[in-house]
Amino acid sequence: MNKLILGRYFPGESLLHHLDPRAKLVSAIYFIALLFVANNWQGYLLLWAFTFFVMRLSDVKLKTYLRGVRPLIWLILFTVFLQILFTAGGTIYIDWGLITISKFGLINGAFIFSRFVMIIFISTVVTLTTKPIDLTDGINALLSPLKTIKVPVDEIALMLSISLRFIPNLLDETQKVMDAQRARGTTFGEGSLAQQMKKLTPIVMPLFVSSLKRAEDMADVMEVRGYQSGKPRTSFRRLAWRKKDTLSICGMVFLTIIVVLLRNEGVNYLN
Amino acid sequence: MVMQITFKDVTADYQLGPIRSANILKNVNLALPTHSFTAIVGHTGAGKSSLLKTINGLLLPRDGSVEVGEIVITADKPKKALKEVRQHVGMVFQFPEAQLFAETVEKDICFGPLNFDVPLEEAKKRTKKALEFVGLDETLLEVSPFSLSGGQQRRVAIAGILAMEPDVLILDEPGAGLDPEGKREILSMIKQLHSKEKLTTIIVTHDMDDVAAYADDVVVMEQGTVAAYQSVRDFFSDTERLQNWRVDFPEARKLQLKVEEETGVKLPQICLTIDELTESLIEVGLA
Repeated sequence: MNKLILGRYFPGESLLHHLDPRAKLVSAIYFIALLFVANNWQGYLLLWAFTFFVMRLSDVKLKTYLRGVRPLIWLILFTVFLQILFTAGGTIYIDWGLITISKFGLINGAFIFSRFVMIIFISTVVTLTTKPIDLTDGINALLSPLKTIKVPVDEIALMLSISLRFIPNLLDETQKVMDAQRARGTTFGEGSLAQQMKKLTPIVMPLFVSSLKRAEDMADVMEVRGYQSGKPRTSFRRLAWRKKDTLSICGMVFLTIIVVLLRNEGVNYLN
Repeated sequence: MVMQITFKDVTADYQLGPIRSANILKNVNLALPTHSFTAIVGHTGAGKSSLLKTINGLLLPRDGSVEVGEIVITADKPKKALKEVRQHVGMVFQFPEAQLFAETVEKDICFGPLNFDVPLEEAKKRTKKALEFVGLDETLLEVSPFSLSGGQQRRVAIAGILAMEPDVLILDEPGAGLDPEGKREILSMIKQLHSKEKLTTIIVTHDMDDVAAYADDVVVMEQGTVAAYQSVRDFFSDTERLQNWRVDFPEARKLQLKVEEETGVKLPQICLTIDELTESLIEVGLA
């Protein structure tokens, strides 16, 4: 329960902690796009180096990041495996009729693996160094142009921040309900898959009931305090764009230039 | 069944991912005799709930051992021992109505016994008995627990524990959030069960009137250690120490102190209940 790293905030005083959430979000999304631009090992090497540099800047231990990848590792390996088996081209190492392991397959597999892991690392960097409330403020600010086409951006941001806000409560509650049902003789993590699924009902049901109840209470409280959807709201905290934010965006542009340059050269390499 | 509970040098903490919390329990040594009714008091975060959780293995001691009757719980998760101890120890959590989940009251109460391989017929029999004991009507058996009132839900949840027929009953603030009447009813029900079934009962409470009215002994927890373990009367006689702990007095005792201060007359005994106070006041001629 407490092992989930992705989506968690670790308080700290690093440079990344003090960047504007908008800068971090834009850079992260941009970086993910960049992952698909690179197409050779030099490009990926550079991106890996950048990823580790950023992780280093965040002042969070590498172990923590690795733990963030762990829950997804099987999904990643499965995808990589498929890539290796079903990509043809280049020197063929093993040939079992339909299934072949080729040079291009292995290269592609390595690239896919790199992409997956770097996406997780970079998004973990963002969430680890940004308070959930800053994150939603950032998303709100970035989406606000959509208001002109009547997208309820404020509401979406509010929903997001409320759900983030209640994750710890939900985890606490899960722990409590699990304890209570354990005390009544349930043992978790035993028996066949079907049996284990059945054992989840006594946990999930109470959580549903309490979440719905809390949502209702919350809605009442918000209404009592004058919340109306669709009305413009001011905010207590303002985001401030500083020099270092501009610099970090410049860094991203610089990174792009190098990746694109490497790419042009790389086309020859693959052929 | 003889069920003394012995804590030997119990140290425990919660491991929360990368963060290891400070010791929640520190070298707790305590022996609660069988059939006793013990109240645990202390400030928030003093380790009361954690102490309760070590009794049925929901929190395992990092060092030391907890013995419940013949069963020994230590750090190296003896799975069989855990199941066994949970069968003997019934635990009512704070706001136990949050654990209700089944479609009908009957199914919910049966959940515990069935987990311990009690035959269905027997479980249903126990359900009826438990429901009657907590003062609810048999017609509620087929009703969804979520359609009941808060107080009724609390009773159903407690019945769910009673149907396991435990020898040790642990309750974490069973009266929290109820009106005074409902709270009194639940506590006297527990007291009645305690004497009838010869249970070993442990209760966490903040209300000193409850301590005075129902418990035999008191354990004071302070920062993860046992600060005192005394009989209720001894506990409330030491006025100065209680004030140091910032523990409240029972209402009767408060009134007694006030009367003594105003009149200058010292009453012959420490009064913990209204009846005792009335008696003493008559004795010294103030009433």
